[in-house]
Order: sequence, then C-alpha cells, then structure tokens
Amino acid sequence: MKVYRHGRQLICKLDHYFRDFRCSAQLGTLKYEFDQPPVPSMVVADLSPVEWADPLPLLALAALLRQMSNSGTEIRIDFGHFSPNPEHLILLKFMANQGFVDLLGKMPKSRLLFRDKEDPRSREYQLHELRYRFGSFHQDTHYQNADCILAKLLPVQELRTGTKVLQTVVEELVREGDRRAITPTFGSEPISRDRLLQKLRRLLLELIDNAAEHAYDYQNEGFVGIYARIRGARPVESSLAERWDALVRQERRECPTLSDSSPIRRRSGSRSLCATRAGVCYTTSGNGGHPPIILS
Amino acid sequence: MPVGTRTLCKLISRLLFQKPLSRHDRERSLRTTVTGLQYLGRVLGIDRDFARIYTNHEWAGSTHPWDPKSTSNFRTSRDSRKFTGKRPAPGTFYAISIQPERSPVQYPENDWIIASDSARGKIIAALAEPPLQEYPAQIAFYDRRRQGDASAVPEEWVTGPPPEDDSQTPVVILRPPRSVTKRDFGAWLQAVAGLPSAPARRAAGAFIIAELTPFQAMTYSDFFQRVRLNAQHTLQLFLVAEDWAVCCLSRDTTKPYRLAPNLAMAQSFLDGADHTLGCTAALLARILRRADSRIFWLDKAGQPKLSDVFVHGRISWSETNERPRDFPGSIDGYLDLTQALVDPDCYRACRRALRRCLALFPALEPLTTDVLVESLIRRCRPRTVPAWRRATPVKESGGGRLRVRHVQHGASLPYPS
Repeated sequence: MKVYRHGRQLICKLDHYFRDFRCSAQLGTLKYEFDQPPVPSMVVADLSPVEWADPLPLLALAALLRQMSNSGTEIRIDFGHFSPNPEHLILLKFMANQGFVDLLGKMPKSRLLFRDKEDPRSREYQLHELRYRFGSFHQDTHYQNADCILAKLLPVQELRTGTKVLQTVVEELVREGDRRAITPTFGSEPISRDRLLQKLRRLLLELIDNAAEHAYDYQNEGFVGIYARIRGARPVESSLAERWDALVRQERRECPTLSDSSPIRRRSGSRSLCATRAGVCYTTSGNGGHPPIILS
Repeated sequence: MPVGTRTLCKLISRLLFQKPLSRHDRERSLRTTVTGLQYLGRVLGIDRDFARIYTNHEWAGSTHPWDPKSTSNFRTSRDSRKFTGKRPAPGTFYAISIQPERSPVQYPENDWIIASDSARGKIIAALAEPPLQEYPAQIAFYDRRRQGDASAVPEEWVTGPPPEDDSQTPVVILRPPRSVTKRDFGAWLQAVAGLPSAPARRAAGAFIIAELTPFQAMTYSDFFQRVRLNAQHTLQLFLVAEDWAVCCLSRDTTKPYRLAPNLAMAQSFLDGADHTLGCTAALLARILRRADSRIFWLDKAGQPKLSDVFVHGRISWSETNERPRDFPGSIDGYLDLTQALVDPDCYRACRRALRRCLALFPALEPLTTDVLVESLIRRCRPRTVPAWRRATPVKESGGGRLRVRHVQHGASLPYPS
C-alpha cells in the first residue's frame, strides 16, 4: 500500500493483495497522513491493482473513508479497468455481490470511477450500473453461494441511543442472514438452524455493543463494519478441490492465526458442511491513539 | 518496542474471552460481573468455534475454549522490516467462524431436569382445565416476546416503594425476546435479587425465565451461574425451556453471592409437589397459554382483531368434506385459520403454542390433517432429543400418532368475540 500526497489530494494505492495481515500492518498510514495539515481536499482510494481483498480490510478501509467523507473531504474510489488478469474482475464481482461497492459508493461525498470515467448521472444510478456491470462478469467468484449478511457500516451514535436500537439492528441483521443463507442452507435441519441463529445473534449483540460503548469518543462519530458469509466445505470434484486447497493455503499465509483447526470441521453425523464466518471491525477516533485492547 | 510490552500483549491475549477484563469496576457499578467477551467465549465454546482478534499490530486466534498458547496463534507486525515506517490499522477487528453441531443440545445432567411422563401428564391435565381468566395474584407476568427488548424492568421494581407485604408478588415470570443482552438480565437481577453494588429494593421469591430454546436455556444457565449477586439475596431462579426441561438455580451454600443448581427444586417445580413455590410447571403452561391466546385474539391495545375471520353462529360441517370421523356435524363458530395466520403475531403465537404442546407428547408422531398445519408442524419440530426419547425411537415404541387439526373449539381459545 502506498500513501502519498499529490497537491491537495491524498492518494492511497493498494497492492495486488489487500489481505488481513498486510492491511493491519499499514492501514493506519492513511489515517496518519490524512490527519497531517493541510487537510486534503480529496482522498483517492485506488483499487485498480487489487486482485484479492479480504472482507475485514475492505470494512476497515470503508470505515476510515466514511469518517473522512463525513468530515467534508471528497472521496474518489477508482475501481480500475477491464483487466486482462481475471482476478481483478473476480474481485469487482465479489465486491458488487457482497455489498462492498455500495459501502464505498454511498458516502456523503464520494465519486466512483471505472475505466477512468465517472458516470455523470446520479449516484444511485452509478451504483446500480456498477453493481450490474461487475455482477455480470462471466468469471465465477472463488467461493460460491457465500451470501449471508452483506457488508454494512453501522453508525455508533445511533447504537448508543438505547438498548432497543441495538436489539432492533441485530434482529434485522439476523433476519437478513437467515433469509439469505441460514434457512436455504439449514432449513431442513431445525436444530442446526436454531443454534446458528442463536450464536449469530449473541456474537452480533456483544460485539456491536462493545464497539458502541468503547470504540469511539462520545463526541465523535464512528462506524462498526459488519459482514458475514457462508463458507462451504471442500468440493468433491478434484479440480475444484485443488483450487479450494490452494485458496486455503494462501489464506493461512495471509490471514494470521488461522490454525489447522479453524477451517470447517468435519464432524460425525454431518451431511452438508458449512460454516458462517462473521467479521466485525471498528476503527478508533479522537486524538489518533487507541487503546491496546478494547474490552467490555 | 520493549520485549516486556510484547510479552504483556501476548499475556493479555490469553486472558481474552476467559477472564472478566474490564475498564469498569464491575463490583461497584450496575453491571454483571460477567463481561461481554467472557459470555461470548462460553457460547462459542459449546461447538468449539474459532475466533481471532486484531488490535494495534497484534493478532490472536484460537478455537474455543479460548487458549492461544501456541505461537502460531499469535502474530505481530511490530518487528517486521517489510512494514517499517508504516502505521498499523486503528481499531479492532474480530473474525469469527461459527459452525453448528447437527446433534441436539444435550442438557447437562447436573443442572437440568427433563420432564418425566408423570410431570408431563400433570401439565396436560392442567391444560385440560378451563383457561385462566386472570393471572394468579402472587404472580407478576411480564411478556417481552413481542417487544424485541427485555431491558425495561417495570417501574414498581426499580423506583416504587417496597411493598408492605412482599408476599403479594413473590413470583416474577419473564418471557424474554430472542435477543437479550446480558445487560438486560443484569437490570432484572438487580431488581429482583440485587447486585453486589446495590441490594434489591424489593426481592422476588422466584424469578422464572420461560419459554427458552434449548440452546438459549443452556447458555443462560451457564451465564447465571457466573454472575455475582448481592450476598443477601434469597433468589430462586428457574429457567424453563420450551420442551419443559427445567433448571433451578438458588443461593450457593458455600458462596452466598453465587447461584448454584438445585435439582430438587427443579423437580418440585415440574411435579408441582412444593406449594410454597407459588408457581409450578402446570400453572406456567396455563399462564403461557393465556398470554398466547391474548396475542392471538387481541391487538396490542387489547381490542379484538380477528372479527373479520371468525364466523359467529352454528356452522354445519359438510359430509363431503374430509372431516375427521369423530368430529361433530356442526360447530359453534368457525375461525378461518388460514386468514388468521396472515397476521405475524397470530402465526407466532400459534407456533409457540403448538411447539409447547408437541413437547408434551414426545412419543407421538404428529399427523397433520391439512397443508397449513403441516407447514406449522415443520417449524415446530422438537429441537432437542432428550435422553428418554433417544432411548426409545418413536417407530419402535408403538407410541401412536398425535392428530393435529386446525379447527379448534372455542373453549381452548377464550377470546372469540
């Protein structure tokens, strides 16, 4: 990731791989540079080189850009080009299908570029157009049938207004996960479905509540990023299985602490093997410092 | 960075999800002594789910029960030359992978009593009695199922003056919504039993949390056994699952500020043997039926809402229809259940009632008489297979079939007007 100034613009050019470890080690540079005077008039997030992005870094980037956008800075998202390398197109398709294009595009002052062009029509139209274009690329995303909870940023100021708001938000998220993934996958297994819903509800309640209470100064606004997907088991067909193995190996290299025990476990009595992976992230605000560990 | 600091971060990461690390003085505040991450750790531990957390250069990850002792489960970017001059991402990331077990929840024998044939028989007999017209005077029933929020503890328990005669409401029954935070439970515990920082203004003799799914019931039981209450408390806490498994927690004899399982009391509650309790499983079943009947027939303002779909008068049941052999040729009033169930509250009330009923006849296989009831039954299958049922498979037991019809007599639904 390269972060540099070009006049009043602050440019953040991402690498080929925007994955958990790399992002966690350097995303703060963008915030640091943004906080240096003079305040940039525009922040450009250049996604054109990216071939793979993990959900947590995308959520963290979106949360940071949203804060910058809310402070009055214009945000430009450059989605790149039709690349001969299909990986970039697969990434764009993934981002469109899983809500990340909307997340980046729906900021108060954001401009969206694809092939160096910006559609002059309304932003709603631009977003619709990009979702449609990216979503219709013929390349398949690497993990199929992953829909669960699309990427979202929740404003903590709203969550702090009362327990009822938190519970309403969580129930909506759980309903979305149930509708998109849990009932289609576990509908015929009420025991598994109930258990999954209960766990999803518990973890969303506790983690979002933690973030609302501890992540940001009370006078500052901030966002909690949420995303969940279904990860299927290793395919039976050999070529797909090889590809799946390669992706898992790569994930273990790039995403810290994924031990051997973390992939989907084969259990006695299991028929279809699926797990829900939920990601929650929040940045911190205020004087630029942040607590070493945020606890309830 | 000094090596000592790095070691400290690693040490703290080992305590995450395990110890009640908190910025707040939980003994002196109106918070439970169990932290959010600690509670979450217990829930994730049930199916050995995996979690990882990032903050300020460091990642820690482990399957639950959380134990990131292995060096491969802790990674930092602090000393990496590759990122010299870069600044770490601000904030905190959590990535959690949850995978449900296919097997039913197993109630721990040391904490739970599963209703026996005789206990279930008593509940069935109680339900054959006429519907309750009022809740008994000694019971305060709070139904939060439709509100989606259990946090609001009634005013009389929080700020009202202590009653002169506490025996007026010795039993508090709460039917919580699906989403309950531990803070909500903290508020209720403070009200009915008192927390270490504040004694209760008026104490309840028994606090019953009713109609929980088995997974909820088990996780709540674990939570309540870890909470510290005011040492003067005399609370008896009952957790009642929708399949009539019961856990009773009462004052721990060695640690008075804790709750410990009381199997004898749970058995008494199911059998209705101890009349000093003020409530039994049979009475609870009637109370829940009354609550669901009200939800079914009345709107939130207490006004009848099904006038359009209930036909008053004598209704003849045509011979040509597929009517059950033992069904009378005509009935007093007819409810168009298909139309009634369009209302989500009616649908859910009906489903809850059916689920409670099916749990009372575990050896019988539901036999539905129409498609509508079939769809309801599909959503009501028992979520646990208690030990007695696993031991005697339904088909081999010769237990017969439970016929579930959708035409009901007015007597079981007391608000047809």
